Amino acid sequence: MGMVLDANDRAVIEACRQGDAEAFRLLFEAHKDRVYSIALRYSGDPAAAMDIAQDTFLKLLSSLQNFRGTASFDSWLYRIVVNACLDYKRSGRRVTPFLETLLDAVAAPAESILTRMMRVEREQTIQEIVARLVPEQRIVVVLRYTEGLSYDQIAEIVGCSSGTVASRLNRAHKILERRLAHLRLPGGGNG
Amino acid sequence: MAENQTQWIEQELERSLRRVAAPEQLWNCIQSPQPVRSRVQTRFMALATVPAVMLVALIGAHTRQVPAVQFRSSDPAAIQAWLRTSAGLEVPMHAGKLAGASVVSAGTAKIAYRGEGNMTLLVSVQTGLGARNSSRLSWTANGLTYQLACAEQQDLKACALCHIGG
Repeated sequence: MGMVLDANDRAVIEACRQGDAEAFRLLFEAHKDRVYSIALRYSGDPAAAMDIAQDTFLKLLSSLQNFRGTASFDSWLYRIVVNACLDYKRSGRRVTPFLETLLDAVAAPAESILTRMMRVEREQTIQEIVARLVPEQRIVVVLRYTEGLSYDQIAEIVGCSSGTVASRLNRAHKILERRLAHLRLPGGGNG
Repeated sequence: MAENQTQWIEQELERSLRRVAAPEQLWNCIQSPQPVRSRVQTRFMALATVPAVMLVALIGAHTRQVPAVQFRSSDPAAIQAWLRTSAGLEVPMHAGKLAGASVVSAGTAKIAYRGEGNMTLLVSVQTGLGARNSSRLSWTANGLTYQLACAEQQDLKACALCHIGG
């Protein structure tokens, strides 16, 4: 993140500004997984993630005119998806249906079905608990662990100081450690 | 110990929150977008619809009780005077549950009565021998043609009890 667009990216964005549908498709393909993953990890709900991702790409398209090529396109895109996440209100929390993930697990031949099912269940528990964090902490956790961003990068996207990012992450860790204590085997193993 | 715990939780988070592939349908959603509406909004809309429907029903019921009229009054003398000046009609008025009157055209007017319950009775008054509608109760008197109209056919039958010979 933080890098300025290269000549190719600039050309794609310029073509998008001119209404070139093919160029927008290229831009979409390059960033769809990132946008969808942030939305999914933030919302914990595939349907909500689709809504957020859709909203993000439509906002991206409508505001491309305002984007200045000298800034980081990634930072700009992150800001749009983060705002779309924070704007998305929801009443209930719905995580990926367990049956769906179990079927995926059964279909995977590499590890034993039982091991994989246990892993899937564990990940699902963690995703559920993350989805219950307050939005300010949740978005920081998602940017840190889904995207692997630094504190400074997160601070720039979210619009706060690095210290605030560290503090939010610290609080989120404490909550998660408490709520996930049952998953941790004695002796500090990963289970 | 605390460092171990943090390391453990970071590993768990990295694993559980890893990036995933976007579904193929996402592109279709963007090409033909549906308005994004959260479940809170949907629920709010559903809840907001209930009082809105109730309000419309109330307005509807009220409108049926008191039809939209150009001149709203329950005073027979006032309605008679208004019909005289507005439509050139001299209609003998009797005391009753009057709601008001409207002019349809020169020489034609409608007088609205409140009936029992939600019933509304419209008396169409026309100079001369107006076209009679067989489905309506009508009669002539003093050079005027009267026609009764009710929203419900049942109500019209009730009117016929008093206006025999229509």
